Amino acid sequence: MSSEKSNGNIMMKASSLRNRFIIFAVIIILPIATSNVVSLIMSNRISNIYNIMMDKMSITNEIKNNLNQSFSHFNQYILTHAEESKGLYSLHYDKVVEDIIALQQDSDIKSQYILRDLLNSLKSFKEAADRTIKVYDDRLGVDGYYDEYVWAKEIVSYCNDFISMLNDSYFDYNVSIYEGLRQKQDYINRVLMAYIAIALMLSAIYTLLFIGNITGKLKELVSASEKVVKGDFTYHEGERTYIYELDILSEAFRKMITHISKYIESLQEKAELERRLQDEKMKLLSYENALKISQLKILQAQINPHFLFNTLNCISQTAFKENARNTESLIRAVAGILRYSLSMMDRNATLEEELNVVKQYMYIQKIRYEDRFEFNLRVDIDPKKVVVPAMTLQPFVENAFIHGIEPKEEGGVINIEITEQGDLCTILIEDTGCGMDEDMLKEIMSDSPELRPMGHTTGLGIRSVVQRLKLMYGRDDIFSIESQKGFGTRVYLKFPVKE
Amino acid sequence: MKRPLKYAIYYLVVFIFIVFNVVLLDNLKYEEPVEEEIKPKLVLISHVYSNPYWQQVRLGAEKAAGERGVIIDFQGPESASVEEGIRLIKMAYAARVSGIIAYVQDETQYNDVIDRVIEGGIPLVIVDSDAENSKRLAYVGTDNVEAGRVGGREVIRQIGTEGKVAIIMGGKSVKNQMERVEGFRNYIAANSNIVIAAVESSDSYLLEAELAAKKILNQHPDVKALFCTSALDGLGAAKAVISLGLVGKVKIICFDDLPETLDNIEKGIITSTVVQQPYMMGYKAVNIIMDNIEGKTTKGLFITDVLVVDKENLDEFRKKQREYYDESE
Repeated sequence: MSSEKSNGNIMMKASSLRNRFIIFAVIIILPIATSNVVSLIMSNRISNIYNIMMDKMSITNEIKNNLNQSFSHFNQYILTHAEESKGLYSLHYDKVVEDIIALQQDSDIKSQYILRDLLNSLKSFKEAADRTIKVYDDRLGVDGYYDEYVWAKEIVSYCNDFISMLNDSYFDYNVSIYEGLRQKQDYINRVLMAYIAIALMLSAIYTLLFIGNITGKLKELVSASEKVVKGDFTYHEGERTYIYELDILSEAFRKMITHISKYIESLQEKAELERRLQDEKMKLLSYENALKISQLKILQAQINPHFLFNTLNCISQTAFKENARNTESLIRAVAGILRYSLSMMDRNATLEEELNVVKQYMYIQKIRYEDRFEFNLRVDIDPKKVVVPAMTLQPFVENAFIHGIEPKEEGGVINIEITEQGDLCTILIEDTGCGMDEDMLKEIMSDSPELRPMGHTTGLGIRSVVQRLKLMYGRDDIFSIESQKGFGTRVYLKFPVKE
Repeated sequence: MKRPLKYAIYYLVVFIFIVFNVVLLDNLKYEEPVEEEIKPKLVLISHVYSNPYWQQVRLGAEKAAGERGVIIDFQGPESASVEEGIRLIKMAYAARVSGIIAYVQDETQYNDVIDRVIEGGIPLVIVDSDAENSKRLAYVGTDNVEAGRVGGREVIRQIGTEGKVAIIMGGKSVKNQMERVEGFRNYIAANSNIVIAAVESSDSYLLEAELAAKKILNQHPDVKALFCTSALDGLGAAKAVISLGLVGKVKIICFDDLPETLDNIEKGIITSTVVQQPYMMGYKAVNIIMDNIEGKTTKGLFITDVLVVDKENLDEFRKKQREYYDESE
């Protein structure tokens, strides 16, 4: 999974914490806002109705006052004949009519009927009153206008009745509207309750799920951290929370752990590599050490090899001058071995060079022991191409002489067979000497100076030679030996052919 | 949680919220009151406002008003009152209504105001009880003399032409009561040998009617039938008959169709009742006024028939009455 893709995924499907909180706020705020607005509108309406009712009732009251004023000024006029009263009577009447017409514009049907009755009654009053005034003005006496006056007065009482009916009607109408609104408000309140209850329930559920999601994820992260602290880098990414930030966090944590564990792995590999390198170095050191030891032993064994070597050369020339051929050959062989062992001690030689040394050694022994032994060499390999540490073969051959042929009266045979099997070169050094028992074998294999067998040319023990081979080739199966008391010994050397 | 489920829940929540908001907003809609056209108004002034008989007059009037495009303003005193009746007529006159349908309780006191209304150019029709000497356009109602005769005929049908009967009337000076008694007497005298043993008045009170009936039955145990000329007299007589244990032995022939009266007929306590047609009166009165307003001069007497309701035609009668009420609803 590429990180870019996974991020895109998360972004697409998960909402961020901010969005979550916005959703939460909307769930909570929306119903509350709605209920507030609705309640506000409802109470506004109710107060409107109340205001309208009060307005109408106050106008009605004004009508009543003006009507009574009008009538009382009419009375006053009949009593005192004051023109002022006549004017006021008319003025108040006009005001009443004006108010009624204004009310008619905006009233329910029942009130409109009453208003019409009231207006008509007022007109009747005006007519009766005007007639009364006319008769009164004509000074025709009280008999002429009494009936009209009484009728006008009666009409005023009817008008007052109508006005109170009008009041009742307004009141009833608005009460009925109010009742309707109140019922509606009750209903709305119930709906609002249900609405808010559901909203609260939903937000509670939402919150619980949300918190569950968060804490679940956090717990997971915490336990993963604890595991990391203990060195366990296995991290199982749990379920997605679909909360953007948490998923990002968990994803980042997962990546971090993966990276850390990869880094640790690479560190381990590197350490392993270094350890191996160290091993190599150690091997090399011990090889060099073995070499150094052999050189030291050689140096301990020979007093001034150069002097010896030069002396041998001098003897060889003297033997040549005196025409002693055998002597000369012998000395030359000894000098050859000596030179080889001096010059080749700290480097590798070819098998051919090794074989030359063995032949020179055998030549010397042949002259010394004459017919007591027989030496056979068989080489099935190009000895030039096999490289071995210098002075590898000679110690084994010498060993075969010292422990095999020399102690045996009747002498024996020494065979060297060099064969090639695939990559492996096998060198068999075989003698038909007296053989060795277990203790002898141990003795040979030990390299302690006390037990060192006497008479060795180079002073190198079998053990050092074998160890040198092992170090060089890095194998343990290079050397094997089998021996039987009275019948002889076989030494096998197996090592890879190095080009 | 699976994603589709989650989305479904989201949508459900959004849906619930929308539904709630729509319900709330819908309830906030302001309901415009229905604009009603203001119509001409006829005032119907009853004898007693809450009287079921007058409610039937009202139903008939309203039916006709609906047909003729006017409205009825049904008025009346809470208890019978001449003063209040006259005042209501005057008030309607002052308010210049399109027409007045009035009940006249006492002709002599009403004539002046009726004449003044007619002179003022407002059509006025009288229902139920006439003022024949006034200038009213028309009278719609029962011929009470004829109704008394019908009652007499019913009594003879029930008890035959021999024996004693007694009369309980709802007021000795009330015109329609007097007319009914008159019609009854005339019919009995002309068609049988029945003797009227007693005439008592209840003044249209239930308790008085019951007491009057008991008095008659105690004083004249041989009375075969009680003729009751107003609605409550019949009920009072029925109570008296029950308490004296004379159910079935004394026949009760009464007036009008109060629900209790009909129940008593069903139980066999009241034998039969003479029923007026108040619904028809209201209906007819409105039509007469409207005819006059529209220029067709319609004047005079418009007599509505009376019916006799007994056990046989009770169901049919009730059914018809129910129809009137159903129509008005």
